Amino acid sequence: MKLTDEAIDELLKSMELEEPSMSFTRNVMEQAKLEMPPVTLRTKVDKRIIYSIAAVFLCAITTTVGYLFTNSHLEYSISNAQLNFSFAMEKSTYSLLLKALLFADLIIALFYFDKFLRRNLNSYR
Amino acid sequence: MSYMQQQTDEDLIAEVLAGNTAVYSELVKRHQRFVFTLAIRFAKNREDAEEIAQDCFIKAYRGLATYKQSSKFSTWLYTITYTTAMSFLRKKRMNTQSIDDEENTLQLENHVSDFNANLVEQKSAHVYLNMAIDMLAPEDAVIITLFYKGEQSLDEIGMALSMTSNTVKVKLHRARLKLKEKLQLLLKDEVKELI
Repeated sequence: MKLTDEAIDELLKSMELEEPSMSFTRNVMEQAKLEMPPVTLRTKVDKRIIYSIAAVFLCAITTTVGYLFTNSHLEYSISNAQLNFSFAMEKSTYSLLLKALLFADLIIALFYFDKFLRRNLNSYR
Repeated sequence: MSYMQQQTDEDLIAEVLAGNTAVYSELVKRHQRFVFTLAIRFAKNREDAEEIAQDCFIKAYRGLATYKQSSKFSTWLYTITYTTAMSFLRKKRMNTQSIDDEENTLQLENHVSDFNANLVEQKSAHVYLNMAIDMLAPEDAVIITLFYKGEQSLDEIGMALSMTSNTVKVKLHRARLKLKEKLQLLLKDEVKELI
């Protein structure tokens, strides 16, 4: 007589779990009381802080773009359409600040792109 | 149903981390049977299994803040159970080999004769099954238990046992074949009644 795979599957599904002693939970909790209470390592970041930082960056970008446009000589003629942004970046007192800002933006963008890719790759695995 | 029983594992963990440590007892109650069953698959006796299971829950309590909710709490807990039980086995230098070798076959024969003595009282399919599972290597027994009773997917079992899901799949298949073999050895003439 041979056992069928289905019979074994059914038997395994109906298998009962073992029961520990009645005092199991109490013993664990008594031991747990002797331990340091676990505390969350991740500090909760207030969303207002995140929004404030985002607002500062947005403001900085808008100001820089605004400054760029107000200091450019925009020329336009119908016969020969020409846009001339003759803004001299190197002469600007803001050039270093602008570069730093753009660099920070680039780092943040790369960081979030990396996080996005990791999350998507993990969900595919 | 009490308030605590309605909460998810994650809610209870948040409460424990917020300082309400008494809530941890509910998490213990929910998972103790399964953790204990896994522990018994390794230890093969209730006393050691209880020690392993308690140790697991204390380790989980200590590390609760490090639990990232990217997987189920049960999967995380079973990972702790597996590593704790493995180190327990290493400490005790238990024989973790399967019963394929000669020595173990002798053990099996003894097992069967012991079993036959109680056959009339313990004539239940689950008794046969538990005996057959006990004869498997601890890892095989754990994979079978996690798959059939732990509501764990192959991926989750792989996560708990630090294996790929394909390895788990292969091991599960082999474990099932071995179990069938052991059951047939144990049951012999009783198979008809079982099915």
